[in-house]
Amino acid sequence: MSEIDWQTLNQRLLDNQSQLSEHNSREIQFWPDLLERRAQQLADRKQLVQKSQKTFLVCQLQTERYALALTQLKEIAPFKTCTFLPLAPPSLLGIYNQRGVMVSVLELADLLGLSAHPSRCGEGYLLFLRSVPPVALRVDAIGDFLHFEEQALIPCPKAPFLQGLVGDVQILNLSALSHAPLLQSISLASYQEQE
Amino acid sequence: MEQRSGFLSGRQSVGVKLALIPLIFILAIGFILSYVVLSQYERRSDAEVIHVVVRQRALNQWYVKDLFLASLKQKNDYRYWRDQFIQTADSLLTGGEILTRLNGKDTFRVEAAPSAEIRIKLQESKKLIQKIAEQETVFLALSPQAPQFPQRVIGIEKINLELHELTRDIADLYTQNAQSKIDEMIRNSILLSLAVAVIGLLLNWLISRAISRPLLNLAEQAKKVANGDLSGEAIEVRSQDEVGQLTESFNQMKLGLREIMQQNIQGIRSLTASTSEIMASTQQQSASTQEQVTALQETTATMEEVRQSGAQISERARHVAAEAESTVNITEKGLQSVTETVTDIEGIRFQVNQVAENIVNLSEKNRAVGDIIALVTEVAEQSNLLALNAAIEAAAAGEQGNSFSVVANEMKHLANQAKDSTRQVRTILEDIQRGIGKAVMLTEEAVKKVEKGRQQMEVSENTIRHMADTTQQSIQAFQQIVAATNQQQLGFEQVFQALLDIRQSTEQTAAGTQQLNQASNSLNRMGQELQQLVARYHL
Repeated sequence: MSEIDWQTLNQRLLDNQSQLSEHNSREIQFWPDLLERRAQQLADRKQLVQKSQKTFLVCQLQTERYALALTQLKEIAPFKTCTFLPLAPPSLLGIYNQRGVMVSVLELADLLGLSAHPSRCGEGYLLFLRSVPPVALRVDAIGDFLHFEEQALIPCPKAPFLQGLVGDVQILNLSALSHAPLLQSISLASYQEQE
Repeated sequence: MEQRSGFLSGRQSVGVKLALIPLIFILAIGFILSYVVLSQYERRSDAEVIHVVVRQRALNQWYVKDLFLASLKQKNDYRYWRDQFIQTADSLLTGGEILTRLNGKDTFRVEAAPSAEIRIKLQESKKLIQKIAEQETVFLALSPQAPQFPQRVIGIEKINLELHELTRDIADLYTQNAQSKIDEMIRNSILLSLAVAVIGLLLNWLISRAISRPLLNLAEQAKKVANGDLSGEAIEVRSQDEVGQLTESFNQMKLGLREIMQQNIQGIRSLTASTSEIMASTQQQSASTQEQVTALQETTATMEEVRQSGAQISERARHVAAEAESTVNITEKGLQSVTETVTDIEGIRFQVNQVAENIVNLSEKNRAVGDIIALVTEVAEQSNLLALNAAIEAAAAGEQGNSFSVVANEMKHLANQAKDSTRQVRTILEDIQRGIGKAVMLTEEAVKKVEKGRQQMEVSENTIRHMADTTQQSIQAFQQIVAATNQQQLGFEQVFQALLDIRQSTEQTAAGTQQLNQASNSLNRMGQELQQLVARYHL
């Protein structure tokens, strides 16, 4: 059994205490610096954002990453719970009351034909679409925004529900997804017209 | 077994047979004595008869004398003598009672005259005395001075003489008769004695033969046995008397002697073999004794070395006892140190408990920090969602919302940074929590080890106390060892002296072994001689 170096140990404790005191003393100056730094970043990004670029929101289904255009989304909320509908198909998790509006909650993974997995009711996030009737898609996680040029999109003709690929992110084609039997049953036609 | 029946059969004992011999002689003597007594009794009658006959001569004389005296007028009892004479003559002739004494009354009976000659003589004597009696009247009537008187006297005297001669003849005849009876008795006695002697000798010979013949046979067999001939069958026992018993005993003795001789022969053979073995053993013993002497010399030298070693052991024991006393002092100091160590360990355990309590408090504070971090994370998550929704709204606003979209993006970025920071803080808190848990576990282990150390120190204390006691006992034991080694030195001296004695005894034993060897040789020769002696016995 190695002997304890109490002197080194005490020195480390003193160093930690001094660093903590230093952080506490710098906390007062931290927020103005942060705000200034962010303002600078905002100014820089404003220059970087180009009009030709589209903004997509990256979400995650199982191990796959998908992206939806922000313009197709209405709201994002954490998926707490929904009302189960008897005799409903498995892709229809239930209905959700969004500030008095009844929203159909669908499992995006089922719509995309991914491998079956147990129900994730209460987990992940709901992507409320700008559709009539209102529909929300459940995803596992929410990622960052994705900005890319049109020419950066790699088309995938064999994948009907995808516009293409940007890196490892699959850009969803909601218009094609609307042909899914379930979505047809709840009529996404109005959404197609809007787009 | 054949047995003779009869008077001399084997059923009578030798004592009875031997008793028969004097019995036979006693019977013979009794028979002869009875015969002699009877003969003597008869001879006494003859003597009395002879006495009476002789008394007739006296009566005759007394009669004549008294008759003459009566003629002279001096006596007058001549008739008594005459009557007695005639009466006695009659009794002698025909048999009858006769006075034993003339003046007495005792009588005895006589038989009639044993022979015709005596009867004739008696009748003649009776006639003669009657003839004198016929003349007595005439004679008494004469005067002595008468001239016929002398003639008468001569005539009477003549008859008297004749009568006297006749009575003498009668006495002679009776004497001859008695003599002849005596001769017959003597002859008969001789013949009877000879016959009895012959019969007695014959019976004696038969009895002696009945006794001696089996004894002679037995003596012959005994002589064979004496000559060493124990072979042959047993003697046939034909009687149940002492000789038969002796024969049976002799047979048993012979059988016993044969078995004894067989055993003796085997014993002598064994003796010879044993003496040979004894000789070999004595030779080996002699060699062993020599080796023993050598070994005793070596043992004496070894004992000297052992004695010196004992002295060294005694010195070492004294030294060890002194060191053990020093060890006891050290042990007492060690015991004091252990007691102090136990006290220190108790203090360590108290402090470690306090450390554990502080660590637990630190863990609770860390958990409070975690709660705060969870709240911050929730805030960051809400901020992120808020930024997302803001970006959506900005996107929905089109060109007017581009600036807002940038702000929303930055808000989302900050929220993400906050989330990352809180995630890092949570990771650090988890590390701290794991460290605290590990510290608690280590502290617990430390407490247990301290407790174990305290128990071990108590065990050590007890062990040291036991060691101190043991050392104290060891000191006593070493002191006893010192005393024992001193006694051992004395013992070694005695053993050394005893070894010298043993050596001397061993030398004496060697000499005795030599004598024993000689004795064994003599015994072996004796055994061989005995074998030669027993060789003459035929079994």
